[in-house]
Formats: sequence, structure tokens, C-alpha cells
Amino acid sequence: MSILRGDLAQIKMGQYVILREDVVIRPTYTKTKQKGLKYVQLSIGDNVYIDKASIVCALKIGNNVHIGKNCIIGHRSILRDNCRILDGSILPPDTIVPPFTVYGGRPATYIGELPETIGVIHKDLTTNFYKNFQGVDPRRQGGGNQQQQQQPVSSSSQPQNTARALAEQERQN
Amino acid sequence: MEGNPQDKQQRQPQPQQEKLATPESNKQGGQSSARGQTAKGDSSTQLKSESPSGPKTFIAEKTEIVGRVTFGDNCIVHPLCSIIAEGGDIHIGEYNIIEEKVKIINRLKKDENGQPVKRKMIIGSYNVFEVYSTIESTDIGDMNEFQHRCAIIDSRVDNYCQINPAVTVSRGTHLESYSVVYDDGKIRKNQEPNEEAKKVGIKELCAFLSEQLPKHNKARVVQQPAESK
Repeated sequence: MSILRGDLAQIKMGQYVILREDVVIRPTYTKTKQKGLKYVQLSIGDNVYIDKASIVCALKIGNNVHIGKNCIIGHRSILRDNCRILDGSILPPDTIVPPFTVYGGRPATYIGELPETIGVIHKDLTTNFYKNFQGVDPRRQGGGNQQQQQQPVSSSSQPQNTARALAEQERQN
Repeated sequence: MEGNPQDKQQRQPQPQQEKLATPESNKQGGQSSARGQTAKGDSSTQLKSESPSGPKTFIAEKTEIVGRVTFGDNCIVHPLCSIIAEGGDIHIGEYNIIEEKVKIINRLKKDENGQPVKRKMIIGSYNVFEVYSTIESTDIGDMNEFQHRCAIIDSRVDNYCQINPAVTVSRGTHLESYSVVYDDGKIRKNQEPNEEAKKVGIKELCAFLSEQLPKHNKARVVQQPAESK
């Protein structure tokens, strides 16, 4: 079960944002001059993929970002467009991940660069995931079961019907 | 969680707790009355007030609290965390922030004869427990920071400690004051402790959260001390 803490501060999301299981997304707090500590709005761009059991306390996430499994994104960190965080990495607080880079490790550091086409590739991944995703609705599941139960009945009744139909035809003849 | 029979038990009216004049004697009084009630064999959550201004503690309804847990003033308990006192009472001090999915468990332990041993677990003041951290049967002092997904089992933590994210502290460790646990159980001393700033920060956070959280979350029905009613 994923948790999105929209009660602490606003969470803004773009299109085709995919959050997998057990993801925790909570806005962070920063120190302001007038009011002291305050929770701030968290904005997530388009085509963002966050894998299982990651904890995201970022300030801003750009477009086409991929976050791996079991990641911990530290407080007030900023992920720019077209970047990738590897599985199991821990991004320290106040980190800025530049565009077209791969970050990984504990603590997460710069590992490599991404090609310029990563935006298109990532867009494909998220849109395909969205289109192929089948939501689990208990009512719909129940309906499906009923249909499955009905099918064998109908299939078994069909030959009966045909047999009856044949018998009726014979009687008529 | 809502259909839990223990929840229903906790919401039943409980006999009111005594309140004494000074904070120290009050603490003792709270503990003694707690002992008196556990002897009766009922489990409940209690809110202990030490200041006349009111407790200001917020406990979300979706929290799982089992057994006898006592909270101090200005605590913030986010939804979906679990505090389980199966092996004795848990006492939580002032200004603690417990975030979601945190597990604080006082495990039931048995002696050589197989008899259960009651053991109290005490958590001090100004502690921060971040998301997914696990605390089991560990006494904790003041001003400690448990970061995301850390785990500490059967240990002792003094004051001003910091446990970095995703670190597991091995069993039976005694963390002295100002120690920082990093990587996989390596310990170093914090060279630049900044206690006052941290304390002010936690107080501000608690003040903000105690205002903000009740707007969106239902508070848990807990037994209040006699004065605040």
C-alpha cells in the first residue's frame, strides 16, 4: 500500500506518473526566515516512474525520472529532468541530481551519463505501463468470477440444447 | 485495523489517572498508576499531561496501539505506525515525532523457566523516528534521530545519537552519547553537535504538525488526565 502524504503539504503530479507498491511520498520541510520550519509543496513532473518500496522526501522531481527499488530520497533533494536513481540507493539530504545523469550507491553519487534519447525511451515505458495496467477492483473481480462460473454452465447447456433441438426436429419429422 | 477487537477495548472508558503537582513526582505517579492498571489486566492508551496548558499530543486514528502506552506532551504520532507493548509498558516522553510505518515494539521475553518477564521500555524526549524505522525492546534517551528504514533491536541508546538511513544496529549495542551509526553498524562520534538548533527545530515541527494534522486526520480517542477534561 502506497502512502501519499497530501495532508502535510500539497503534492502536484504530472501525467503518466507511476507509483509502485509500498511507496511513501511525503513533502519535506525547509527553514524559512519568517515562519521557521514549514512543509513545502512537492511537485512531480510527467512520465515519472517510482519503483517498489521507495521513500521520497524530495522537494522537486522533474520529467522522465526513474527511481529504482528500495531507494531513499533524502529531504529537500531536487531531481532534475531525465535522470535515474539506481536500486537501493540512498540520496543524502539537499542533493541536486543534474539532468541526464545516473546516481547510485550508499550514499548516492554520480555514476554515469544517460543518452539524449532517454526522454523518449522513458516516455514509452511509462505510457506502455499505463496502458497495460489493469486495476484490481473487488467488484469487477467478483463479476469476472461469475462469468467464469457461467461459462461452463453455458458450454454444458449448449450440447443439451442442440440435443433437445435435434430431438424436437426428429419429433416434428 | 479499525475492526480490531483491541481497538474497541481501548476506547472503553477507563478509570482516571491521578495527577501530582511537580513534573518528577508526576512521572512517578503516572508510572505507579500505570502499574496499578496493568495489574487489572486491561489494555489502554493513556495521555499524560504534565503542563497545565494541555497536552497538545496528536495521535492519528489509523495508528495501531496495542497494550499500555503512555505519551508525554506535544507528541506527534502519524497514521499507520504501530506501537506494540506486549512485553510491558512503553513510556514515550515529550516532543517525539513518530512517522508512518514506524514499529516500536516491546517484545515479550521469557526467563529460564519459561515465565514471561515484564520489562518497561522508556523513550525520552525530542526524538524523531522517520519512516519505516524499527525499534524493538530498546531504551532510548533524549534528542536522538532515527532515520528512514533503520533498525535497532535489544540495545540501549543514550542521548544525542543519530542512526543513518537503512542502518541495522547489531543486538546488544550500547550507543553512547553523540554517536553516529553509519554504513553497516560503524560508529563514530559526532564532532559538531548542535543541540539547541535541533531542539528548536523539533519544537517548531511539533507545533506545526499539531496544528496541521488534525485538519486532515481523525485523532484517536485516548484517555485524558483529569485536569484537561
